[in-house]
Amino acid sequence: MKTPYLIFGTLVCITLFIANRSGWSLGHALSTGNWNPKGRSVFHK
Amino acid sequence: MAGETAPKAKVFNCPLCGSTVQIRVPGDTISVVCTSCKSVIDARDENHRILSEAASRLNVPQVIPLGQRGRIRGQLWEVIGFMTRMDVESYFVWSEYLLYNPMRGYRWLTEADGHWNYVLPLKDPPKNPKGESVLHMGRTYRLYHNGRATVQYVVGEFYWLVFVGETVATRDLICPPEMLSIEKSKTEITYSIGEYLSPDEVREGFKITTPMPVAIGVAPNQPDLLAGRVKELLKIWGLFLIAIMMIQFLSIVITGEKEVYSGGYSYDRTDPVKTKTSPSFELTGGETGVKIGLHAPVLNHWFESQMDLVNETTGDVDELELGVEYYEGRDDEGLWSEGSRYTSAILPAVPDGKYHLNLEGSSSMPDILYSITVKRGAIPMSNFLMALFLISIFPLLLIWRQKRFEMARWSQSDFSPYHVHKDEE
Repeated sequence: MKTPYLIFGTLVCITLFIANRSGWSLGHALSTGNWNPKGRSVFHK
Repeated sequence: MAGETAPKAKVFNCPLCGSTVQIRVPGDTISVVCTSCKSVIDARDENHRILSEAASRLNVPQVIPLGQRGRIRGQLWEVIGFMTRMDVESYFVWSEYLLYNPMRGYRWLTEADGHWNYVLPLKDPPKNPKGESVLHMGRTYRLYHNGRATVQYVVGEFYWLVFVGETVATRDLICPPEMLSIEKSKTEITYSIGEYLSPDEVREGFKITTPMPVAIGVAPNQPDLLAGRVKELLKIWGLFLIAIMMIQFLSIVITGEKEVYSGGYSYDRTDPVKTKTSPSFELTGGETGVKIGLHAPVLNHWFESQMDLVNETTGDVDELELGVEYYEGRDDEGLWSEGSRYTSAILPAVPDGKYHLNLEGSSSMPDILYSITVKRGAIPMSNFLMALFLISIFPLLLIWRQKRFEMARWSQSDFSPYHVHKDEE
């Protein structure tokens, strides 16, 4: 139980770091339904 | 017994029914119960005097038969007696096997609801055995049960004069995996310590091939095998908490949230030009978040603005809608207010470039002045909160399971810390 939790928690920390560095926002993804910041609701006018 | 001299058994015929009766420990046995007619025979009397006759000759099934030898905690034991006892108030019945080893004396193996205990007589009783908490050998035992136990059925031989209906007052106190039992009869008080045994230890120790009683619920002194893991996991959780706080803090420091634009605008319902355009501003520093804030001094009104963040190089547009509302008043309880005059949102991973904002307001007020701020390098809190939630799931589940285990342990006790006593309600 200790080892899986260590692996899981480490993955969470790495994911948080990458998400923050790339500007990805969970709140934005939840509110817009768009989970890919690169493909967000962008269109040309 | 291997390496231990087996006692020479004494065999005679039951004076009542004629069946063969065996005394395995001739020197110590005081009474022996005929396995056939259940009469209690005086083991010390040369003529094998009948002490009492049984009201019933029914056999109660035993998991371990009399005469069976087996190992518990590495020591060899032989089952010489068996009895079932019942709690007089709750009618709860359990089984007790008297074990004998010529070098070590007597022990008990008890079985209740499929849970087993290896019971040792206590030579040095606790100094203060009264009260709901008893200290013994540095361990604190908590009162679990007060009652009276009566012998229901008995076969085999015993080191005291046993008979059906023999009743003693009992007190059971627990400190898992141990149980301190105090039994008080008219003539003596006996103390014993029971240690929880898994059914597998009993089955393997006595080579039992018949089905074992199914363990029901949680035994009073059953150890919680995951209890130690909770503390271990909480320590790791603390380290992960520090780690994600450091990551969040460093992300904010490294990214460095800075204001790239701030401007004021007016909204007028009669204005024919609905869309306002901000001056151009540069977003630099890499693809990070952009925080757009809206402030409007509304009072008992609302204001909202549709915003387009336009990349002037590529023509890409990010759409966003922000709204504020603020209400206040007075009622019986005094002043109240709700809502806010400021709100913000973060657009994630916006590439570097030259941008401007297109703003289109709407309001419950005919006209209002409002302001917009744009900040580069915004780090959202939602990622941190999700990380906190994820690292907390396992410890929380384990704590919840531990509490459920303890509640199940105490569910049959009148002294449960999880019960509200009637006089406290």
